[in-house]
Amino acid sequence: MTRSSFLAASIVAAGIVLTGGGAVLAQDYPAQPVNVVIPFPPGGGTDTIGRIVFNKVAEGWSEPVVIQNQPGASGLVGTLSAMREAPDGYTLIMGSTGSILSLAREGMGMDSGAFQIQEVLTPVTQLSADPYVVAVHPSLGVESIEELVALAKSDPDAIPFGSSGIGSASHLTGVLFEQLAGVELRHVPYSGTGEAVPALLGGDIKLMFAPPSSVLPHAEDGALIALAVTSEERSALHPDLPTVAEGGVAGFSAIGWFGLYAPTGVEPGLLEAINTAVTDAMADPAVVEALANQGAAPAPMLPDEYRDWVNADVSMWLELAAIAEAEE
Amino acid sequence: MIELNHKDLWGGALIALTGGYVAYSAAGFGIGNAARMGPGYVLVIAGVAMVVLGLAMAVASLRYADPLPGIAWRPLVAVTAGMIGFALSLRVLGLVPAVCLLVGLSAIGDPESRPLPTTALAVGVALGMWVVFVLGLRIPLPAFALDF
Amino acid sequence: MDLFSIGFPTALSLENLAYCFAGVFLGTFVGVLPGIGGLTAVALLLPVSFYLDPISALILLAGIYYGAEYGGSTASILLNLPGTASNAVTCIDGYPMTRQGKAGPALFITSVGSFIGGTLGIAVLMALAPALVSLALSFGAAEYFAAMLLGLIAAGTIGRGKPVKSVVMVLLGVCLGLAGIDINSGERRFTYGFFELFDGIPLVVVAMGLFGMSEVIASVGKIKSVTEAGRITLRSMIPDRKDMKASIMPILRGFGVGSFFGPLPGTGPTISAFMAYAIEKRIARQPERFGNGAVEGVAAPESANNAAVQTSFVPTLALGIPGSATMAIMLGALMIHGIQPGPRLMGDHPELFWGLVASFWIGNVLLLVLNIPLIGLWVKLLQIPYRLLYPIILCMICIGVYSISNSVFDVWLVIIFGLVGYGMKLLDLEPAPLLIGFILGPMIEAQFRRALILTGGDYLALMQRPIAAAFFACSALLVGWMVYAMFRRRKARPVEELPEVAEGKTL
Repeated sequence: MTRSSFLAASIVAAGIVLTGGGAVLAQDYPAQPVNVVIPFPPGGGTDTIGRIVFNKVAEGWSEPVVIQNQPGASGLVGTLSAMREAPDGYTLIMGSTGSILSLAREGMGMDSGAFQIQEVLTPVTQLSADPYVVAVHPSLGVESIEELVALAKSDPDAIPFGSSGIGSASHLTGVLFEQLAGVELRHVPYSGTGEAVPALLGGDIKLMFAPPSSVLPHAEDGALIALAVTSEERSALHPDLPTVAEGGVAGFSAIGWFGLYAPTGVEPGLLEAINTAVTDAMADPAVVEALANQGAAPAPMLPDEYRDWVNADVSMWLELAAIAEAEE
Repeated sequence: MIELNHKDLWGGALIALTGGYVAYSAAGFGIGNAARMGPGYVLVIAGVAMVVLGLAMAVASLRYADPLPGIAWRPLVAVTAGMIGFALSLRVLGLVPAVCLLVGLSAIGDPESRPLPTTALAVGVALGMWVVFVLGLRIPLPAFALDF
Repeated sequence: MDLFSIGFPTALSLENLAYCFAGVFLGTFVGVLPGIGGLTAVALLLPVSFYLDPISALILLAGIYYGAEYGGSTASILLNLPGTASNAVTCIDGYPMTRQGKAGPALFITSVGSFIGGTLGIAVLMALAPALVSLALSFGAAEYFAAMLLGLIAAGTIGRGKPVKSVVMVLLGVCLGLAGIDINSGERRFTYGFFELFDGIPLVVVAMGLFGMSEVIASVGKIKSVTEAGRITLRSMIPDRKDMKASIMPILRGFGVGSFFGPLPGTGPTISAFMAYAIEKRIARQPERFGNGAVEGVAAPESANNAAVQTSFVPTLALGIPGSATMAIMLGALMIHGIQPGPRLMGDHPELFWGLVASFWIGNVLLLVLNIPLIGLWVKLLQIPYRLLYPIILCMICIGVYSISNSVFDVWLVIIFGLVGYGMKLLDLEPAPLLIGFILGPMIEAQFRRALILTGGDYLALMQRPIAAAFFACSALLVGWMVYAMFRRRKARPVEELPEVAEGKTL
């Protein structure tokens, strides 16, 4: 206790010295508009979730929140430019599994060999972590994961599965499925979910590991069949869908997360203040409902907790990416 | 004797050179085969076609006269310098100084421009751009970066 | 009819009428500003839409989107500055018209063409939505490849000079368009270590550099003002009977092209505009007029892109599939309001669907009323001495390009493309074919490779799909016709070619 508070105090002191005494005090925060950089285009998953949450956060602050979309290169363009801003809490960065994975694949945060997000970004909190949905075209003739695995085993490299791009979470989830179910699928990359879903509806591709909001409405309509969710446990938002593991693919778990980050070197008190503000906003019933419409459930974490989770999960995705690359 | 003052000779040669560069680089991307094309497949085809057509253009050009027009050096340099000034100063100094630089430098391109009207134009345009783009359309840019 | 019982009452409420007007007004405004297109404006207004009813939010955002398409042609015609990428093709004949003192008629025809294309597009959207949805879904990789290939062949020679020069420009455009990460392999092509190039070069940057900046360099010191007609009378602003008559069929054909490509996700207004232009040039009796101020070259693409904009709402509203980045934002706005876009939207929220459609009609009428009187103002602006005008044009290019993704990198790119464009001007190489190669090249490559992955490398399987086969057949016919026409022209004009050869020999 005393040791950790001493540690904290010395870090604060060091922070004040390093930033020339201009360090932002948590109790005064925010004293100017807060920039939230979203490294994806408006209207996408990261953008919508970020806007829903920060709309609420801004209500509790005396200063406005300025959302700044800087899309490009799977989130790299915006994240890299925002990373270089001062760690004063006035630049926050939204991130998805995809954008953090892109950083790792550029070798950032990899100084020690294993991915360490804290080398490049300060994790603030997770916003939500949600499963993908395994969706198939009715012409495939399967209605469960068991049938899908059986079909794939009987005819290797025949089922075309679409993804939103090489190395994207929807691609790597497919690779994980191939690994754990012992099957071989035919990967067909698209540029984005918006291009892949029509191809799935039209039957060009037969299978996709897709974000729930993009395929579930079509499943309700009968144009697609939703087989399962990709998480370890059933999702509270779609309790009737089994998990892939329930379908006989033991140990299968893949979820995509959205989180909030800041440049490295944020003073701990300030980090806590931001974390609390965001966590509180996510507890608001209107926010919960709006997120649920987007297929997302609020899942805030403490900064340290989130750091460890990101590091572990990114390592898993990186392994899958290596397998996928070897397959090409 | 080959006449060098010829549009299509230069045009064809430049196209052929560009095509050669594209095809050479694309070969390194992996060509694959017709059934499973690599990332370089289409580029190599396009590049080689550019080389062939570019050379054909250059050779055919020797049959007719088609002299090059003069290069408008003054506007070329002034406009480019103005835009480079804008690109360099936008994030460092802010929108207003960047626009002033752009207007000021590029105006030199016209021999009839005079310092005083140009200055007035620069200030006026900078204000106008700030009102339209920052106040009106909320493009996230500071008027002056120094206070940011 | 649901349109009259639900749609108009919703759209005609005072509040929604106001949002519709605000939307189309703002859309026209940002459309006129070069570089700031509907996408930027819709993104900027997204936060505002949080505080509105979902229907009002959608009416506002949609109004900006199609309003920008109206306004976008203005800068293309007046200043050779493509306001949005889909208006780049309007530069080809619109700017020559302006230089000949016919800016007024060009703008007038554009407004009328946009109105007709837009309103007929809405009718198509209403009447044929289910059919268009199934058409759009039957377009797989093979069909897209076949259609885009036909497009490339049709549009490949849209330049006015020698065909070979058009073809090399198309090829150069294809190469530029393929820069960035290859979606099939993840390979980085011509990115030179810049993350900003991973997604390829932005279309607006290429268009603004090649058309806008290079035009400024070439014009400074050479022209006193953009329009060289001395006095502007009211009569000179309205097209004469001949121009009106010459525009009617192109407008209708443009509408046809636009409503075919509009509902296909990923194609949309830009491709429609180029296709409409290519068709007009191909069927014209004197194709050499194109590029020198042919009124058909303005009428057809503007009708096409507005028809495409309206019909592109088909997949968005009927399936919840965004056909473009702008549509993605509008769907995002719906989701923020807790409305799940998807196949059930029309049934579950009829007031949303029909209210929006009704607002399209109202919006198009408002746009016509708004734009016709503005023509006088725009034409007056042309009398500003060019020496004062061009620094303003440059500012708008720079800021517009910056705002695409808040990045100075794009400003550097536009400088490079401006210089390349000026070099091309000196060498008589035209930017329009380059642009069509730039747009279609990457789509053709991606769809072709995808189609082959799906068929396991079987070329014949591509031909067995009926829609694709029909497009392939059209391509073959077109190539055959082009070869025949070339052959015939050679035979018909031996006398004209001889002196050229003789002249060449004396060199």
